[in-house]
Amino acid sequence: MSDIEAKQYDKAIPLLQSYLSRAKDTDAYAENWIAYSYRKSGQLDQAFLHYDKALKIDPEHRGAHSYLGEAYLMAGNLSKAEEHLKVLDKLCFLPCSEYTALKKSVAYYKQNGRVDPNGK
Amino acid sequence: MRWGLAGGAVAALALVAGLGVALPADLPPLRPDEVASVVSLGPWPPPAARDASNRVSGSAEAVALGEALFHSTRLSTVGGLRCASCHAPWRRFTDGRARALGAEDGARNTPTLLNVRLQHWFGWDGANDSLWAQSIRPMLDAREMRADAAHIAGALRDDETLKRLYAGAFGHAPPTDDETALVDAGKALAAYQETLASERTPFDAFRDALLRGDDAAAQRYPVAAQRGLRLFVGRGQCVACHAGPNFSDGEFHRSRIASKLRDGVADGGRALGLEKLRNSVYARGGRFDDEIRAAAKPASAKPAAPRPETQQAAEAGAFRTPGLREVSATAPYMHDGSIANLCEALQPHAMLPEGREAPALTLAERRDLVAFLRTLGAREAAVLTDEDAMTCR
Repeated sequence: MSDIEAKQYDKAIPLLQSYLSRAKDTDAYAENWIAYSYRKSGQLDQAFLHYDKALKIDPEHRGAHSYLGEAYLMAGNLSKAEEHLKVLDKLCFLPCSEYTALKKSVAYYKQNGRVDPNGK
Repeated sequence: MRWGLAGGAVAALALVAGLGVALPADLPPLRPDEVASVVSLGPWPPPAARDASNRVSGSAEAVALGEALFHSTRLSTVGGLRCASCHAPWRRFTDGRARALGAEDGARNTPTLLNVRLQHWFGWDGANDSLWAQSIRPMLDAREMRADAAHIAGALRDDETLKRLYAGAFGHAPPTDDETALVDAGKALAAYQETLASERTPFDAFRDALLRGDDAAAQRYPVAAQRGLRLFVGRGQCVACHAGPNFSDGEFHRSRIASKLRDGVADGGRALGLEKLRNSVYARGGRFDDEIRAAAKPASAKPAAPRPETQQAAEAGAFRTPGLREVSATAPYMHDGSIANLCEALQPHAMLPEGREAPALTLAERRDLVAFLRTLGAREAAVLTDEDAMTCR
C-alpha cells in the first residue's frame, strides 16, 4: 500500500501479483488495488482485467465500480462509465465518496471531452 | 422410507413470498416419471469435453490468451469496448440491458456466457456452429466491435503481452496472414469461454439427494421450490424445451414474441441464422475447422459445407432455448430483452413441440416456479424476494 501511495506502481504491481497468485480470485480489494496500479501506470488492458476480477468476486465493490468507470473514461467510453455511475447510485444509499468522485469525473469528461487530470 | 417428496413426512414450514405466510409442506410423493425428469436435469457440473474443431480447446495457455483478449480494448475500434463490456463478469457475463449496446444499439438481448460450452448452436439464431466462430462474429460486426481481420492481427502482433501469450498458446509467433490470426483469436477466446461455468446450486444438491435416496438432504430443499419443480417437469411443460443439465435442449422454438431488427424488418431468428451459417467461411466443415485439418480431409471451398442439421427447414421467428442456470441474475429475458422480470417470463413465451399448448398458470403457481428458478443460482436466496412479491402478482 505504501508503494501505491508513493505512486511507485512498478514496485507495487509485482508484490500484488505475488499475493494474488496465492489468493486465487478471492480478494476483491487486492484485485482493485493492482488494477489501480496498472491504470495509473498506463496499462489499461491489465487494469480492466483486474477490475473485472474484483467485481466478479464482489459485484457490489464500490471502489472497483468507481475506478472501472474512470478506466472507461480513459479509454474514451463515456456510456460505460455512466453505467457504473448508475450502479454506484444504487449501491450508495447515502452519498458516498466513490459515487461523488466518478460523478465529478464524468461531468468533467462531458464538459471537456477528455479525462480530468486530477481524477481518481 | 425412500425419499419421494412425501409431504406428510415433511414437517418443515415454508415462508411464501416473503409475506410471512406459513404453509405446511403437504406434497404427495413424486411419481417415477417425475423423478426421472428431475434426475435428467443433472449431473452438475457435467463432464468437460474438448471441441474437436478447435485445436487449442482445453489448453491452459490458450485460456490465458483468451482471457487477456476477452478483457482487452484492443479487439475493438470503438473506444474502450471489450468483450467484457457487454459480457460483464460481475453480471454473470451479461450487460443487464434489454438489447445489446456496442458501437451501435443492437436488436437482441446479450445472453450470458456461463455454460456456453454446452451449446452446439451459438447466438439466439444459431448463426454459428462453433464457439470460436461465434467469438469472431462480434469482432467483425459493425454494430458491435467494428474491427476487421487486419485490426485483430495487428493487436496480436503489436501488443507485447498478447504476442507473448499467443506464442504460448499456439507455439509460434502470430501469423502474417490476417484471417488466420483472426481465427486463432476466436479459438483462444473460445478456449477461455469454455471455462465459464456456473456453480452448483441448491437444486443440484436436491437432485443428487433424490438420486441417492438421501431423505435428510432432500428435505433441506425449500418447499415452494419443490412445488415449482413439480410444475416445471409436469403440468407447466417447461422441461419440453428447458431440458438437460443446462436446462436447454439447445434447439430452436418459435417465439410468441415478435420483435424487429434495427431496420424495422421482423426478426426471422433461426431462418436468418441458418442462412448466415450456410454462407459462413467459419462454419464446421470449412477450412478453419481443425477437426477437418487434423484428419487431412479436403476442406471445402468457400462457403463451407453445411452440417446435415443445416439442411433442416428453419422456422421463421424461432430462437434458441436459453439455459436457465443463474437465470434469476440475468434479467431482462427473451431474445429481445422485452420481459423485465422472472414472473412475467413465465407467461407462455414459445410454441411447444408437437403443437402442444402451454397451460395458463395461477399466481400461486408462478410464485412457486419463481422460487424454483431462484434455486438454479448459486448465490441466490432460495426463497422469493421482496421484488418477486412486488412483480409476481
